[in-house]
Amino acid sequence: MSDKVPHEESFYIKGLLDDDRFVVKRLYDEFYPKIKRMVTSNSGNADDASDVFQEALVTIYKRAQSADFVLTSPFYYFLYGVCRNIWMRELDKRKRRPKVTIQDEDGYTDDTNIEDVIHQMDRHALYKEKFAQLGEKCRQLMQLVFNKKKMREIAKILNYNNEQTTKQQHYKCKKKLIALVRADIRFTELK
Amino acid sequence: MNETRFEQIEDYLNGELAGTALAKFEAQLNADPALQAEVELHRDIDIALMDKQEIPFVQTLHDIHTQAAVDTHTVEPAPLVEEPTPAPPPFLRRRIVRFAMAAAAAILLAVFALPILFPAQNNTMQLSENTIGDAPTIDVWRSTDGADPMTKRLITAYQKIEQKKYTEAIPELNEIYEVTDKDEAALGLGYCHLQVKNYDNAIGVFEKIQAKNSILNDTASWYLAHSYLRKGDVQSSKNILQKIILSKNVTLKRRGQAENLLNDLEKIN
Repeated sequence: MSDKVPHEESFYIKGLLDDDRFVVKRLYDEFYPKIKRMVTSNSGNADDASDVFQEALVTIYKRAQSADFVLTSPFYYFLYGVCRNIWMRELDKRKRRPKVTIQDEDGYTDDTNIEDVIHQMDRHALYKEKFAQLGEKCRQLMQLVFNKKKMREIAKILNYNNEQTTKQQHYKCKKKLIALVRADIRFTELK
Repeated sequence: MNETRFEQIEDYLNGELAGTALAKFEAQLNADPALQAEVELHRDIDIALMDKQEIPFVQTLHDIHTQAAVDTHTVEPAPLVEEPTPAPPPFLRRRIVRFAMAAAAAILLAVFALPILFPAQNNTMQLSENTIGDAPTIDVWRSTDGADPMTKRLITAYQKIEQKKYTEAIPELNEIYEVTDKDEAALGLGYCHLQVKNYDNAIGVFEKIQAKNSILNDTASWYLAHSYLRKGDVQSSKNILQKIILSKNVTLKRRGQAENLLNDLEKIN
């Protein structure tokens, strides 16, 4: 159990986890214009901004799935930090990273939540890279399991004999994926 | 790691362990940091590879973004170059002067005579009616097909608020609030009580929302300030407005509204 004190704006996290439309609307109305300004004033356009905003919320959602996650700073600072990192990575990919770093808003500082998320983003990128190395059938099967489909349905979709065979096949695929992840030297650094 | 352990971890994460098997696994998990790390790795991989489109809020965000884009495009765009306004002909200029003088006289009458003609209570009531703004809405839910029955009832109750059928909405919102404990139901209920002059009931409901760490706190506080104002308790209203102004969790718009109302209250009292 974490001894960190949850910030009073933790309701934003709960709203995301619960798909609370009222909270999502408020998040959008309050923060999207600011994130859009950050992206569009740093070599991006409106479409880039909406992608970054969505990607950041997905990243936060995934981080908040861990039992040890506690929001310790105002939500906007956390969101801004995640968006900033996502956009910097995208600019790196496009080889258009500005020579000067993004001018941060007043009061913004990286905190432990941001560091955790950056680590998580790196780890998840590694998992995705390794996942892409699996055979097609394995990838299809695992994707259906990740998306919470029932084994019975998956057996039908992928033409396996029964649930048990599907389950055994899934164990094999996941074991292979974990072995690939562990064999990569970057995994030790990212743990 | 042996086969059984691997399968146990997967079954645990997929919610397929039950009874004594689950209890035994959880006891081992609590006592074994290596097992905890292993479970965390399995879970982390599942989360990483979860399809973005399967995350519930993503569709909601997409709908909101699309709606916002539609709204933006339906707003009449401002002309890029402001058209110069032609000067009015001389006879119209004289009319304008006369009209301006009449308007000035009306304003002077309003400023000096109205406070004598009407007592302070009416002033605060009028001030509240002029400044409270729009009724609460849940517009964002209206496009939701397949909403659960309680949400559908909530939408219907909010439609009654929009139609100003407050007395009809009250029992409905009361029941929804009792069953679901949804702050949105409470907010609508408090607003209806406020509109039908059940000020004590309105205050009770808004204070309940305030007591929770709800996203609706700033709206509830705003209506609470108006409830006190309409009840004639100006000091309590001012206190709440002060809190809104000092709170970090309110929108800039709300803070501005609170500041303006507080200034107006200072002027008439």
